[in-house]
Amino acid sequence: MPINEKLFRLLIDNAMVGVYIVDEEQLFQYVNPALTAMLGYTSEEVIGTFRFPSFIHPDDIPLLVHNYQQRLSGEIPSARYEARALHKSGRVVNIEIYGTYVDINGKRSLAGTVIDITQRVTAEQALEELNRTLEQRIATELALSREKDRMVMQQSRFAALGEMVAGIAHQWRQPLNMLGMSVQALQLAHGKGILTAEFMERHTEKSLEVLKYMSQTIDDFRNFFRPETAPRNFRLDEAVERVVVFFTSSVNTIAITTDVQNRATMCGHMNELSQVLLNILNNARDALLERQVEAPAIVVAVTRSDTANLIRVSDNGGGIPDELIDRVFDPFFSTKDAAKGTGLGLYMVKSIVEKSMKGTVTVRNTGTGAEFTITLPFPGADDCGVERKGEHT
Amino acid sequence: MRCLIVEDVDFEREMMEFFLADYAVTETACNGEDAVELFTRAVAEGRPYQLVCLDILMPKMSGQAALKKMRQAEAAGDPAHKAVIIMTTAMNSREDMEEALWQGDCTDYLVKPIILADLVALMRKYKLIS
Ligand SMILES: Nc1ncnc2c1ncn2[C@@H]1O[C@H](COP(=O)(O)OP(=O)(O)OP(=O)(O)O)[C@@H](O)[C@H]1O
Ligand SMILES: [Mg+2]
Repeated sequence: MPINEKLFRLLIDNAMVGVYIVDEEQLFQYVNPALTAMLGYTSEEVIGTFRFPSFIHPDDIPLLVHNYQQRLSGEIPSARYEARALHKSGRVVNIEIYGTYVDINGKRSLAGTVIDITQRVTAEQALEELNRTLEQRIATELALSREKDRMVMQQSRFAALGEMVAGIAHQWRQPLNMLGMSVQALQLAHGKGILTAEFMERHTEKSLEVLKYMSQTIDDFRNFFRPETAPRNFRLDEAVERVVVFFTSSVNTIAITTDVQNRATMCGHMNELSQVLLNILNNARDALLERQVEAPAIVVAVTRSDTANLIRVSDNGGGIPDELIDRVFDPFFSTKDAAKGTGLGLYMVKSIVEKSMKGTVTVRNTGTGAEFTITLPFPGADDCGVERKGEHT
Repeated sequence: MRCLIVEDVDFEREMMEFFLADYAVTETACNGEDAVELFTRAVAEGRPYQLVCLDILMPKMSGQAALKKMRQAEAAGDPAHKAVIIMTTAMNSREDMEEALWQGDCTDYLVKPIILADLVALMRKYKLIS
């Protein structure tokens, strides 16, 4: 089919892609309007003056030269690759080149087409950037939430430590007073000339007894707050009884009763349940003392429903205002001043019950006070296996 | 001087009596209710206490509640007589103390462990002894 040169020329001059012919030295012999538009020059400026590499980003020139030589030497007939060209204004134009070796009138030349892929590359880069920053953003968020977790952990450790110190301080104030009184009594009696051997003996004995009690207090607290490692079976009512005894030893103005209707065991850490109950009891104590309730009382009940073991702690301290009751389990929510409460007590209660004991904890107002219910679903972790047998023999 | 010692721990009550024996005729109560009863009767019989040492944390009726009732009872008696009521406590924070005390019209307070010299200084401050 005869196609004349004029038609070819027409097609190429109006092509939507850039078309070029360069000679052995890469000197432009022909450029079409699409290519000159792409680069910001006129064909007069380019033809016979510029070599292809003049328009290429310095970093991409080696690639260009390499491809060029491969084709000239006949190693490969054609090459298709991407490179960065430089517009007359200095702006980078991303291009894709498809070049082929041709023989024009006995002269070794290269002819090829060029398309502008700047938009595609920019879009790809934007996507890449987005992915990268997204990763970064996620990493930052993650680090932030880890930091928050760590802070809460740290705070709760402080809270436990504070609890222990406050507990010991409270337990010691009384015996310290007794010791102080004994010492002063000896001094006073001596001054009055009535210091008999019997008097001496009595006060020495009393002092030693008090010292022993103080030492015991430290041990009790240490045991109470010591973290256990392996889970083991324990009876819920025994855990409750233990906490109540511990609690009563420091709070003697509140009537606290236990109502045990269920002697189920569970597998876990008794100290964790103790901490949970102690936090709830301490809150009840705070409410009862702060509001100076007449005949303050707390009831701890161990019962069961069709599906779960239940531990319920209720007080007659007036309860929690309706507008606040949904927030009491939030970390750092507290109505007490900073010296008295960090607002982590019930947050810890919730996380221990949910994460470690696979249960739930809820609160409601009874009319006379607040009632916390810990629900530990069956079959639950009520069997540690071998240890269980050991425990019951 | 007539003094009422209100303290729930036996040993501490006994020691307080021993400490104050040289300064006052002492009577004792081991809870708030008994203390209010003794105090009220003393006012009614016209032989009120000059000094009351009142423990804050006690079973049955707290020191604060007892304090209020005592001041009420006092209002019925001789208006010229107002007992020096010193609260003693094992409470941990001084803040708790101040709050509990100043709203209740007590005269002063001592934090345990109690030092006899401090108690004597307070008696002197309130002109119970010279
Ligand atoms: N039994 C209760 N009666 C009335 N209010 C309660 C009771 N238990 C909890 N609350 C309210 O819930 C809030 C949150 O309790 P939470 O134990 O989490 O913190 P906190 O007791 O204020 O401080 P922390 O326990 O860290 O020392 C309390 O400040 C209190 O207002
Ligand atoms: Mg709390």
